[in-house]
Amino acid sequence: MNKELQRKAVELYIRVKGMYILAEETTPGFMDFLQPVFEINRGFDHMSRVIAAETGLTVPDDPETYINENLKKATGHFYRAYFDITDWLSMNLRESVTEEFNGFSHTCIAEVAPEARKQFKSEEGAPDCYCSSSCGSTCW
Amino acid sequence: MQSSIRSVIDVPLPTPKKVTAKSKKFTIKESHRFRGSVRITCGKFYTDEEFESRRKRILSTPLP
Repeated sequence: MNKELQRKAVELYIRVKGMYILAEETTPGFMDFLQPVFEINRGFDHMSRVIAAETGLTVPDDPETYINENLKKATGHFYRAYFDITDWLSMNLRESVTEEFNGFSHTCIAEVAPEARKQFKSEEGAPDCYCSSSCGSTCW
Repeated sequence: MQSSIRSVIDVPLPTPKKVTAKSKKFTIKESHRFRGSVRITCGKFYTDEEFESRRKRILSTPLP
């Protein structure tokens, strides 16, 4: 059995779980998002096939290939869950940033959090001005 | 024994249905049968439509 693949799948699942907890905590109104749960469920289904083959509960024709294929499929489902969760989490954080800074001018935000501007600027392709209207580069 | 296990374990799970307002209503109605997540029992989850409209709303709002 490919230990590396197994380790990767479990590591990924731990990340997925951590991000899911974080997304649940940051979502407004205690709302849940079920799509990642479906993906995790499918990932576990493939993991259970691996365990069944390893423990001798099932005897596939080619155990090595069977186990590796299922580990890859489980990893694929965990990746899908991960991207769904990060999408959900980014929405939560974006909404919370917008709400927190609502009513404050760009100059005020730049004064209070100068590091944020530097961070945005360091991103590749980041514009000079984040205003919805073009106001020149002095808005920050 | 072997073939009966293989015939179950190797079958793919059913494709998840769309989460709709109807399924949310049904979940709340049948919550007494369910011992899982409290959020789900209380209907505190996004339907696919709600999630998509929230996503569009948030992404169309410019960051400060």
